[in-house]
Amino acid sequence: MPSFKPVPFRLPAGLVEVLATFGIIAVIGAITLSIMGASPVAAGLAAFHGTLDGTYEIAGVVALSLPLIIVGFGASICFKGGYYNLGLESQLILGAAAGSIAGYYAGPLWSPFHITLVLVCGGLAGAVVAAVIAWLRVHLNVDEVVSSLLSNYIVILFAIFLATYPFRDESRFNGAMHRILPSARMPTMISGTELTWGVLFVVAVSLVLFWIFHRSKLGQDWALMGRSVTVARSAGIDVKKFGMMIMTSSGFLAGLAGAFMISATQHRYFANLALGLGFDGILIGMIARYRIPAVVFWALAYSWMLLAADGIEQEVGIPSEFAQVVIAIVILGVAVRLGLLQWVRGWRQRWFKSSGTGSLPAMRMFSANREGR
Amino acid sequence: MDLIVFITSAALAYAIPIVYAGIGGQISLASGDLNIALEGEMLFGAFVAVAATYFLGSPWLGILCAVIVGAALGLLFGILIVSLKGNVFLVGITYNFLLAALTVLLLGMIFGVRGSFSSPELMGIPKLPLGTLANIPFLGSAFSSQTYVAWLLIPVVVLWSYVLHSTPLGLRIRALGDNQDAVRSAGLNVDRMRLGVQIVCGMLCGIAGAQLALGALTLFSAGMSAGRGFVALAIVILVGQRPWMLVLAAFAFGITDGIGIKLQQADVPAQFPQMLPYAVTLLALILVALRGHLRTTRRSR
Amino acid sequence: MTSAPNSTEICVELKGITKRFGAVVANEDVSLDVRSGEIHAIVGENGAGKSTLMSILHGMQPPDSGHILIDGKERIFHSARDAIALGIGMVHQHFMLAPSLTSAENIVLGYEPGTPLKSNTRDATALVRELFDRFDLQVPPDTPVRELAIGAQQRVEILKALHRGARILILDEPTAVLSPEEVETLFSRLRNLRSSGITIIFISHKLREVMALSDRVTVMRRGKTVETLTTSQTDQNQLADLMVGSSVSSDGKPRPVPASRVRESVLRLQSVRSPTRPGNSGLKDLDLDIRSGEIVGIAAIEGNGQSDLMEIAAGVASPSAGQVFFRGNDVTRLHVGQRRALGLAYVPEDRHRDAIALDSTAAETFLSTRRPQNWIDWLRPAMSAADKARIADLMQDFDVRPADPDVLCRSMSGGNQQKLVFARELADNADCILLGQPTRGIDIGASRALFERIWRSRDKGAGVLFLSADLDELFSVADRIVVMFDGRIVSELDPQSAAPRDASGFMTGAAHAVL
Repeated sequence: MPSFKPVPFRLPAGLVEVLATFGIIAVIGAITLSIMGASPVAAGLAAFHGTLDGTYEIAGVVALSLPLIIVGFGASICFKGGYYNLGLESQLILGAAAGSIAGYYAGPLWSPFHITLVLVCGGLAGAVVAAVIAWLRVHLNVDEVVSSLLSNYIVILFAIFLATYPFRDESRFNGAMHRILPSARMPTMISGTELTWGVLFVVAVSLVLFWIFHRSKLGQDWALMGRSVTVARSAGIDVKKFGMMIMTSSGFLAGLAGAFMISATQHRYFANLALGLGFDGILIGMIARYRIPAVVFWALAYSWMLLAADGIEQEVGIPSEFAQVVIAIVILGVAVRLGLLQWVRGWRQRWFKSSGTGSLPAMRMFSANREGR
Repeated sequence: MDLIVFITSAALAYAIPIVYAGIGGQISLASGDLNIALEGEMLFGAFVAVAATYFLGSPWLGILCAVIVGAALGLLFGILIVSLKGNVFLVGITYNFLLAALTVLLLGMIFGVRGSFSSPELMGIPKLPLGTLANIPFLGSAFSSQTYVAWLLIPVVVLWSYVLHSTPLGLRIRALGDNQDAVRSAGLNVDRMRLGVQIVCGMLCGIAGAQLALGALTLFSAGMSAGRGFVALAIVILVGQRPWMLVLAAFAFGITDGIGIKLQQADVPAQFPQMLPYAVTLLALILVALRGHLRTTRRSR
Repeated sequence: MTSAPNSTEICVELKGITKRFGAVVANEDVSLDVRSGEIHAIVGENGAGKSTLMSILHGMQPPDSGHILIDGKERIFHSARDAIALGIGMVHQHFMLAPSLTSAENIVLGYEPGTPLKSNTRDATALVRELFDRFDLQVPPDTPVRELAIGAQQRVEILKALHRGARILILDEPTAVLSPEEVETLFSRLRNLRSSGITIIFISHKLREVMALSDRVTVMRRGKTVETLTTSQTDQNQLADLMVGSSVSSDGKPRPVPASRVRESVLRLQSVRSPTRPGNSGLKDLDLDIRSGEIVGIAAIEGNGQSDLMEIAAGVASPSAGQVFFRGNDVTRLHVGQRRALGLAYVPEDRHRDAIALDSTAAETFLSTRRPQNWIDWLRPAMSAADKARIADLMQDFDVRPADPDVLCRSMSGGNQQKLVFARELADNADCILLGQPTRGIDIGASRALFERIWRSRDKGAGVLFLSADLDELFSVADRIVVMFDGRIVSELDPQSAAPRDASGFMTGAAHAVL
């Protein structure tokens, strides 16, 4: 698995990478749209009008990205530490259910306290599930990929059970919890939009995690765990404790993301809320290659693409899943980029063996990408 | 008695796609790659089978298309993890995501529907007539409602079991999962073998998908594989290189699914019976790991 | 002992072979000729290019330039299969065996009896038994290879090559993992093979073995062939000079005598046990005391518990019974990180598995062993400018090239990676230093520099545990040699009065000393 030097996030190289990736997304998107018989230009305009044309639209993009940023952090720190918690999906949903319960049954309380309580309850719910999977992995060597995938179904069904039976709002359709109390809701930042002051909370979380993962000793040892567990052990890291910590904290962030959604925008948990969001977070973590600032950027870009695709669907009639397809193709490219790079290099060597021409522009772009770390 | 018939039928309906995908997973794991893309490949196979059957008018052509597309998906997966050296987990996760989104996208574009597609013109795979055998008490009626593809499973498992343990190919596949260098030093092409394994795995997932969508039911709905690929993967981890144990385990989990369906009709919150197959699979994984843990004295901290 | 073969017919000829890996030249313009039916030794230090040359001859990798002639005909190998088809078989230093398959299955892998549609284990077993009789090499055919002892695994490798019809057999450092007794058996079998017409190419850096076995010997140094000699017309000293490139006496610099004073114990193992595993004896009630200001050398054949001893002493593994004391305090329950904080330094045996993550930078590798003492330390910056400057200085000091803290370990050569590990472990003047195979993969000059540093640390009062597969090295560095066999200490020798050959008797369990 390619892993990258974590510390510096140099802007110029990062910028090159971003532009290159966006270029690829635009090209694949345009090709996909053309195949589907839509005009890329019309689609592009629709995308722009739906997302960037005005405060309301931009606020919508940011509001949608906030939970994605948090769960993207969860995926990043987990994969960076060498563990594959694919249960983020259900941990997020259980976090939303737990946050929803805390928001209705506890209180009314002083608002900042109540919001914190909702967030912490959600985070803990996710953390508990992840901790169980982590314990099985660390102590019994149960492969966490398979166990976390299976746990998704169990935990999501459990959350739906909570909404259907013990904590159901009788006045609502089947499988919805009570609307959380006003004191548990985050205050709106720009009226008429879904954007809340929760954005400051996400900024704070980002800064803290940036410090931890790109500057501190903890982040360095964390990355060493991902590079080689045996080296980490010989260096004196307690690998079992670290393994537990890596998985549990990623579960906490997933649950936090779910509770954040409840407190900021949804205000109640209901069956089928947030399905797929955890996997979106995993994709964001992968495309960001586990770097905190990149996660923020790609979560924003991702929610922009989702909303743009909705706009395109309304205007041009192409299902919005095409955005996910395009993103998935790009991420597959990211996952195999080193191999791709070697392949391109080998191809180039064969091609230019006699003429001895220097590097192609495309190659320079790829190299810049690689140095981008 | 009805209960036994019901549970057996439900168990078979649940288990047969899992066994097909599971054999794919078993081949893949025997050759050293834990393929978590089974889920997505099976789902896409289901979609292709439904679409091809609808437009070509024959479930046999539907199955054929599902197998061909499955082979292509397996080849692509193989190229990504073998030739381009992608991490098998990361590529697998993304692959599942890609194929799931692609089915929804194509469902909307081709059939103009969201969520699920069914049509009276959509023919299921024909059922194998059993003649007088259908009169066998208890099991006769469960077995007589099985498709040709379901019965094909028996020769497939026999064949796979034979290939794995009694042919040079099987030996080479087992050696590949054990130590790639041993295979390479015998002058065999490791990359090509791994690619071949992924193609076969994709084909089996294609059949699994076809049986899923055109076997007991005739419809396609988004996400209809519902974790069966992951259950298959868990079973493969449980049974290792024993094909018949795979069948047995899949059937056992199928029974829990049947019990679950029965319980839903009783006065139990529907979610718990639905959890049953996943919970039992997870529990089995844990128990096997526990046994292994108790056996070996663990040295390292 | 050995008579030159009658035939002077040349069966393998390499001409002008050059092979580069990036900037590293592994083989440069190498030429070699091997006669039919001889045992031809290739000697050279670690990194002289022997293994690369042989993997080229076996078709595992193509040369950048040069020619390979087999029986006088030029051949181009696309894969090992081409080489095998011409009768070239190879026994690799790291066995290429599938551990969970049986020995019969491993032997026939890729060249199975029967048809593509039918070939079961029974056919393989029958065929393999035939091979056993023909070449007088015995292994249990139906046992999974992972349960076999190292010597038996090696026989499986040899049989594998013979099954494939090898008439030219390459053995890469075959004796590295064997006990002296097993070496003798191997040699007599190789002589038998020679008399049945098989040509053997024998790679080694142990001159004693080369002298005992080979008909002719080719010396390699720094990727080039230096000279080919008839074994009966040369001696160890000449070969050693050719290998190293200058006339150095085999003993080198005299060992500084330790300052004699009352020395307290730094690390003590008391009745330590670890479980027996296939190919590893584990530890059986082992007691060992390392005192301040001494270097304790461990002599043992692989698999006799010395690796367990290192890992338990370091705190990477925990003993199943017994205690470990550090400066008199019981540290049995403490893991390596906590022991490092108390003043322990540890160079693991397997560099890539345990010491260095290839994706880390030099500075990160260096700082990875720094253990935070409380939670606030975890949140402090991982690296300050002062840290970086110090690391750069230390890298300079230990001759790590390039001496750039930001360079990725992946881009360093193996020797430089190892020097980086020394810099990390020796910089902090630890009280107790555990060295597992520290000179593996580094050249003589770097080894010398390392020994100087070890002696200096010792003279400052550190206790050193030194594990090496090279007895000569052990005897020239250590103050006290402890010989291990079957998980126990069977003898203790004073290198001043004893010689390496005294240790080998104890290493095989043949001799017993009263402790």
